[in-house]
Amino acid sequence: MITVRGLRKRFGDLEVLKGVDCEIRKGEVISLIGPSGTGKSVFLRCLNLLERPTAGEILIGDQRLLDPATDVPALRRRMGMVFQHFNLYAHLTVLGNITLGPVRLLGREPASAAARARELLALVGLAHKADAYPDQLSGGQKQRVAIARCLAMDPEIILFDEPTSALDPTMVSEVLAVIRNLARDGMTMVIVTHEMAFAEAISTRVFYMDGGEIHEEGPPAVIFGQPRRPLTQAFIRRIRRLTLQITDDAYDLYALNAEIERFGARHVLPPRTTADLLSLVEELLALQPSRVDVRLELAYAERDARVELVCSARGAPVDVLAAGGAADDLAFRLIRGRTEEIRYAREGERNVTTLLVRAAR
Amino acid sequence: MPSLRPFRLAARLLAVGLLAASILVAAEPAPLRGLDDLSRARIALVAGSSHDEHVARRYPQAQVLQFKATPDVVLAVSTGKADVAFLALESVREIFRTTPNLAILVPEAYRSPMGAAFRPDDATLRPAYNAFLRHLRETGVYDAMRERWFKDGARDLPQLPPRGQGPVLRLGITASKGLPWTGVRNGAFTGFEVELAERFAASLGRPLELVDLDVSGQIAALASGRIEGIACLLVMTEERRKRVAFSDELIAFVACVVTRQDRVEGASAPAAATPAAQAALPLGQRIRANLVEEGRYRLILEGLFVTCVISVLATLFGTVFGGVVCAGRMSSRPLLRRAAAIYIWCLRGVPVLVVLMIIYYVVFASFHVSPILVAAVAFGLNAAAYIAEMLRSAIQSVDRGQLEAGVAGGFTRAQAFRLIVLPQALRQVLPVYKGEVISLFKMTSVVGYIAVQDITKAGDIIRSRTFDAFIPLLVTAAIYLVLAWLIAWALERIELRVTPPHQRQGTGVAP
Repeated sequence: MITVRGLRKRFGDLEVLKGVDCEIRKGEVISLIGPSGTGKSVFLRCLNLLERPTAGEILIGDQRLLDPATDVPALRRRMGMVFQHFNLYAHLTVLGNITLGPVRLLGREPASAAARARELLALVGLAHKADAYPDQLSGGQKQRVAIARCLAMDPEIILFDEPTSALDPTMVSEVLAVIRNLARDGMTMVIVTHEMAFAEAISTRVFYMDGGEIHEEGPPAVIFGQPRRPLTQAFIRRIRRLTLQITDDAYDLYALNAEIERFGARHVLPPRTTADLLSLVEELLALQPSRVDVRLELAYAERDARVELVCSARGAPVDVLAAGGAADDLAFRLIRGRTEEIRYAREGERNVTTLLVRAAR
Repeated sequence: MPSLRPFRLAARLLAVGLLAASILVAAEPAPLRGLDDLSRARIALVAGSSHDEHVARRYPQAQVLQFKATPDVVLAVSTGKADVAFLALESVREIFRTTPNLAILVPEAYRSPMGAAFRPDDATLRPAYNAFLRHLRETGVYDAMRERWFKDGARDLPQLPPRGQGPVLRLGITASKGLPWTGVRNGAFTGFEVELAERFAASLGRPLELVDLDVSGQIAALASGRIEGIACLLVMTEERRKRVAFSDELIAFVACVVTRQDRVEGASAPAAATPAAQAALPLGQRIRANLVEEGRYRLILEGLFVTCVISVLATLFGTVFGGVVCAGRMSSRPLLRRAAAIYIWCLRGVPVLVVLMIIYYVVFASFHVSPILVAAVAFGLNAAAYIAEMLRSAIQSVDRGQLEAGVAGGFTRAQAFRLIVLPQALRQVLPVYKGEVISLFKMTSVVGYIAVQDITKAGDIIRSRTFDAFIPLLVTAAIYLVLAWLIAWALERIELRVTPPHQRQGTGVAP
């Protein structure tokens, strides 16, 4: 349904897209992942010509998007777009937002457009917000309205530009749930996202973008499980793991906690698991005799829903969690109660403690 | 009782009070005896009048206070702001009727011929006027006119010969000069000069249009072609002879020096220390004199209508044109952007009164466009510059994502702008727009400069007859106040309508 050939986009001296080729078929759910600044959003915005490509070709069905004779607004009506910052029309009610397009562009009767809008609002769980204004909604509610606004145009494909990046972690799941339902119903979608678990769960195909091109593509099991190319492997490893280095007794506990919370949010860990990780890290650090060189590594394994917490500290050999060791009883019991397994190893000059934490469900 | 004086003065309203304050500051003024005392006096006179030239030559040490019109001169001397005033002897009787605390210090300071004036290159109208004058004198009409206006104190025009059908003859007069020369009664010009002008136009078989300008504006209007002649009789000074061609002498102008009664040497008591003589009259009588007599309320109503017409037209034009300028300012073409920026820079940097006079005296000099239209254009052009910038900042304050969402949703850019960005920008701009409209409305008070009779000018004309500053200014101020409030109220209604209910708190607009 969409064919892209040799797509290039240049901003001044900076070439953001360096030749993108791909094909998107009807019914597919494509996730675009990759490091920041590699052109994921620009590529998406080229698909409906919000950005004008410098070179290349885009075919929507059999129509050339870049042909001057093409009626671009008409093509855009068939392609919905959901933005990172929602972009609801601030001067209109929720209902007004959803009916503006159908009434003005599709020639629908206002009454029937409103009835359809209410159906769509029910679909995204916001039937009671029809008369509210955007500034009265939470971020998650705004994004769901934005999705309903897209659906009202009966699009053949919806482009999602980081739909949950601007949301509080608590609101991410309500939006993802709506998108998941759309995927189940067979809507064709292209999603730029940093929600890896989500991308892995709902995509039919994943495009890994790096360096202005689609570096690797494939089914989610391959991209997330056994990526072939080194850049992809490094990226997947990086997003799966969180490494924290502590070099000083006066470490910034709050920054550390924020990193761990972000890690939890990225992997959609249950709040209780994230809370467990926070207290485990704090206790582990408190138990260390020296904090001059401590490396913490967090890794999430989705398959068995476990988080591995590795604490590697340089110093004289000591197992801080050995039964009856230096650990005071309370801290020891606290750590025990939250972990499934504890391993200790001496690696060179380092004491390595590994904790396995089962993610609550 | 000097301790009571500050209290009494404070009780006066601000306008009169400010003038009177100078009395307190000044040392006890010396009594005046005659012309010799003028050399260091404060002399009030009408700017651009013959007195101006005379005083500058004869009393170079004197402090000259120049006013726009006769009533201001009278007020200045009666409140003690000036020591003496130079006035036309013929005007004095009418002035003394309403301002009894004045006295003539010198009945004849100087004497000078007066006449009508025409353009220096004029070859037809001036000879015709001189012939008309000779005829008037031969038939005795002229003497009868002088008798009637200057001796009998006539107030209304007599039966005049019918007006002709030819091209309109535009002559300049100065309504604020006051009777017997020119005044306004029951909404129409009257006076010796008016009768003369009417008779002259009739002798040419042309209909007459009188253009009311200040003395200082007459010669400029003549030079720019706004008027064909000056029917407001001017003293033939050397300076003026260089600029205009005078008719034959019509009448000898006698300048007299007037001062307050208590300033004349040998005056009995400082009883007449009241700032304005009118203050002694009962308020009801003053209101009657200023608003009812001679149909003066009609002047105010007509002025009100003119002010409203100018304000409405200027607002409409300014808003539409402001939109155009804004479009230019935000255009993708650098040339249009530059042009709009220069326009805004100019119009915001030049006072609106100067713009008004440029358009009246320069741009439309040789077209006879209604001055009301000229005013609407001038104020509209000025407002457009401000409105354009307001609109631009409002449009730019609308998040880019709004337009993007519309475009991505299938709207053309123009549709997305009209349906999504513009409504939000307009809602943003309304509170500032309200302020601009009110200030535009108040700015129209300067249109008197181009011979338009708005409310302010109506107040001036009434003052020129009653020599009372208090009532006309107060009524004028009250009318502006009420109208400004009405405008604010109406725009706030609109503001309220376009604001969603939950946002109405904190908009400063009462629901």
